[in-house]
Amino acid sequence: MTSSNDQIKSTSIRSYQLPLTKVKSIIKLDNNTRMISQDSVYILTLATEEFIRMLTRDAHNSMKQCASKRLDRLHIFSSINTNPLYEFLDGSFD
Amino acid sequence: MIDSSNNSGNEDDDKCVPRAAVYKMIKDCTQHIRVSGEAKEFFVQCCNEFIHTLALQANTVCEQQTKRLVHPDHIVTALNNMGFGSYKTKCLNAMETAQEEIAQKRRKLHGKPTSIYTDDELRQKQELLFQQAREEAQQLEDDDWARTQELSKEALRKKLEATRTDDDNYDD
Repeated sequence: MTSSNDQIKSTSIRSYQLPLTKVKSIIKLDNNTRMISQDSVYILTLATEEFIRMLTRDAHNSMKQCASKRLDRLHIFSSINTNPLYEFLDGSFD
Repeated sequence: MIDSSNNSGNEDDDKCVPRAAVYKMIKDCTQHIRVSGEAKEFFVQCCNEFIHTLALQANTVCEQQTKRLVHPDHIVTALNNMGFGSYKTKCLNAMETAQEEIAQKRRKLHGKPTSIYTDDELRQKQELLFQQAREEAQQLEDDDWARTQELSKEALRKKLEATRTDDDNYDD
């Protein structure tokens, strides 16, 4: 998905799946944030996509351990509680 | 608990990564696995949270360096701080490739317009055109001068004519 602000058009080499403008507006929600360069938004988007893949893989593993047939929210919870990397997610959802 | 069945159009929905994009990414990773709707929604929430946290961290790094604009370096440092240093290589590689592409496109757009003639040939052609222009200008000037000459000769002749008519009386 490309946006009008995106000066890097989507090509076969450069691909991303989350729209940059959306990511940027989420970043801007925090009033304290400074100006952010377009390159930074791009890198942040890539990191986010990588994060989704990572979390999905971990949740999938949790699911296998439970011998479940369907990936459920509980499996994601389980991954969050197990892996210290996901600690930042801890306080957000109660 | 998150009310995952909440689909009302509150303003948070605008500041949320598009669900379809997230679903697609999850699907790519878990091709034959069924994923519950609640889990999908939860992934989206985690996604938003990640963006917030990473952006905040990067902002802090930026501040510490007393810079006013958040740079990719700040994002990378923030990733390291959060423990996601493994993302660094992939992100930076992708960015380098993208930047190369932009540079290439820029060179194409702003480069000299192509011509079938070489620079020297173009210069010669230009010189030829200047020469022609000079000759034409000279010609015009000469014509002008000749015309002026003609007119004054004509005027003189008429004057003489007028004078001779008087003299004719004496030749008879």
